[in-house]
Amino acid sequence: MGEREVDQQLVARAQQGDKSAFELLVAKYQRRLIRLLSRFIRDPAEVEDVAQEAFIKAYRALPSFRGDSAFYTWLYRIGINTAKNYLVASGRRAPTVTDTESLDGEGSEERGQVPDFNTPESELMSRQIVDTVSLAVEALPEELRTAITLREIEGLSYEEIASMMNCPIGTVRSRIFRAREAIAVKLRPQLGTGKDRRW
Amino acid sequence: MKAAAAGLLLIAALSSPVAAADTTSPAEGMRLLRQMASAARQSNYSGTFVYKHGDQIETARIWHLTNTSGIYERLETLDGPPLEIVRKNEEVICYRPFNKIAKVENWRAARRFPAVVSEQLAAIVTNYAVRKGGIARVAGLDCQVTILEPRDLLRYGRVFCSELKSGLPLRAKTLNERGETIEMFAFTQVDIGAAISHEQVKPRYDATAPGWKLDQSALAIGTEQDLRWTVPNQPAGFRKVLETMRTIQGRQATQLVYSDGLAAVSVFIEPGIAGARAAQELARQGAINAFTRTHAGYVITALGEAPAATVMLFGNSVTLRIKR
Amino acid sequence: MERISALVDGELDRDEVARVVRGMKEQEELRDAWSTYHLIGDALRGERCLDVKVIHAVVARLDQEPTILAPRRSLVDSAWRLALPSMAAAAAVATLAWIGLQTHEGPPSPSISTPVAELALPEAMTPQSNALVDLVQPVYLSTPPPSIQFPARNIDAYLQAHREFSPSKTMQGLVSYARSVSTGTAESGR
Repeated sequence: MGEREVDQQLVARAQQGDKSAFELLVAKYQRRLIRLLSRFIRDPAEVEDVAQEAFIKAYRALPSFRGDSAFYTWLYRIGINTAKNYLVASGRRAPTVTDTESLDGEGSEERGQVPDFNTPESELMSRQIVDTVSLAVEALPEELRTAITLREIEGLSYEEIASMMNCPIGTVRSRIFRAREAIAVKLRPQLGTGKDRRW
Repeated sequence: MKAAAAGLLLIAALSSPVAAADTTSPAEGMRLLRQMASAARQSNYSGTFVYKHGDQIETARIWHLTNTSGIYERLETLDGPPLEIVRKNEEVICYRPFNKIAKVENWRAARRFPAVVSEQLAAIVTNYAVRKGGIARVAGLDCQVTILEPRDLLRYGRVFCSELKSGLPLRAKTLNERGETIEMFAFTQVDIGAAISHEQVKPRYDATAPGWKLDQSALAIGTEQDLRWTVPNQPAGFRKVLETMRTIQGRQATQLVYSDGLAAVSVFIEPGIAGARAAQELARQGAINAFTRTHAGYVITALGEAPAATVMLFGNSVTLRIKR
Repeated sequence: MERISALVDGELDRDEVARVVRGMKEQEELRDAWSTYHLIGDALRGERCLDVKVIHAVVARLDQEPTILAPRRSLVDSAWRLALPSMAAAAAVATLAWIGLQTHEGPPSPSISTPVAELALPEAMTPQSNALVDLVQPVYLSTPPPSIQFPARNIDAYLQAHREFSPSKTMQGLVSYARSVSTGTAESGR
């Protein structure tokens, strides 16, 4: 069905009153939005506040979202706008268009061009997560490791992966799922999801 | 069926004024390729070409001379850091005046597969559908278009435009699975059949001059096999060309090379740096994809002019033969 | 649970998506899987800022928000769309423009302003927000491509060790060496 279509379906459900569908979108995009906002706002606590604000604004603006663009594109613009407002309201320089608008440079957030805006604890936690995941991937049997790598790093569809690995699509789906679960098992203790919280 | 879709896109990407022939016999396809390879070896020519990948363009000049004593070539970059690559038969020296290093290579080791052009052509025809396209104009000359459409998603497609009379390839494009051009070599000006003098194919630099260093680390390519490693699940259509141990950037590495006749993938295995984090990385430039992963304390890098998925399949399949 | 994995990849059909999403509403385990699988993807791509839990704060605030109910396609809607007949791009800009945001250039053009008065804007979107219109023309991203991390180690040395084996030499001779030459900036610094 495609990831974009899944997003659209979640948006549609949220537009019909299902808040939990919107929460799924938040769970999916929260890190990306935080990375985006960290480009303009230094204090990690402020970044979280602005992100929270942006998500709520997005929720309120849902009726006007028509699906002409991808959900994240739309969220991205709301995020930038919220960040600008925040900076202006707190008397700081609002980033210019050239600062914010390189949409195809979106990936530059991850390329080490952005100074570290996180707290040391958070950065350490981030790295630990990467390490745990990497080690877990390395420990996977080859066919699971290849399937998850082709999917997550190269972004291939199940059909394309099935063609590459010369196996049925159902097998690809199962391999990717088993890879994820094997990694999740090692990751969950580190994440410490609160039992009394919905997420 | 994916290859068919890519094929349609390849044809659409051609923008050739003359309608493309729909079917080309394998014999005709091989003849076109053979003629290109032969012309590249035997013609005397000089010209200026561009290499375009993504948004970047580099320009260089090239001179090629073939006579009774062999094949001579010189390539000189026209932008970026100055660089000159000079070839005499199978010896290739790359001069970098910026840091005065002359790196020597020898194509002898690479000659094991394909050993002869026929073997290479047979491999190409197995992995690609060769089709004759229309006529295109490159550098002011009429050229025959030849399309090499990959038979699966494990390799990139190519489109060659070779000058009608001589057969010399004047333009080569590499296309991805969506039919998009990801890299292109094209002559902007070429003089085929020109009288090329020996002077023109001799290096401007002298590697024996003071300050210059000769880097011969690439010559230590032997054929000893590193039996520790195995690649049990090679992507279809590729054959192992070479297995050797060599020095790269001062470090000892095992290199395994695989080829499908038109594209090659090298797999490098070297001891990991102590304390480095386990990571998987993918890098891409033009038609080159490079995938790195760590395994059992080693760093494995798979790199070549093939789709990312292919280099990843290679990289992921490398395993230590002997389990500890 | 395997269907959550397939949902993450967009590989379920429409009906299954609806079923799974309903299931996630009820079962925490499924929501956890959705969240963790996305985190795993981010971690595999080496992305930063992984330790992010802003969702908790968002959920807490959402609980206090009035439930959104988007109007079904209305006559006003169609009238507005007819006002800008063929330009999908303009329609999208207009969509963003009238979320209560002011333009710097002056009042919106008449064909857009008429429907604005008739549609109830959510309260939060009051005109003092900065305009999104000062952004350059809209660019549509389909699902953004997975970000590719450039390696800390440079691949130039490997490319140079590889180029002598590339069969492109047969068709192109030294011309094919241009590939490895163009990465040369790192080397010229050595």
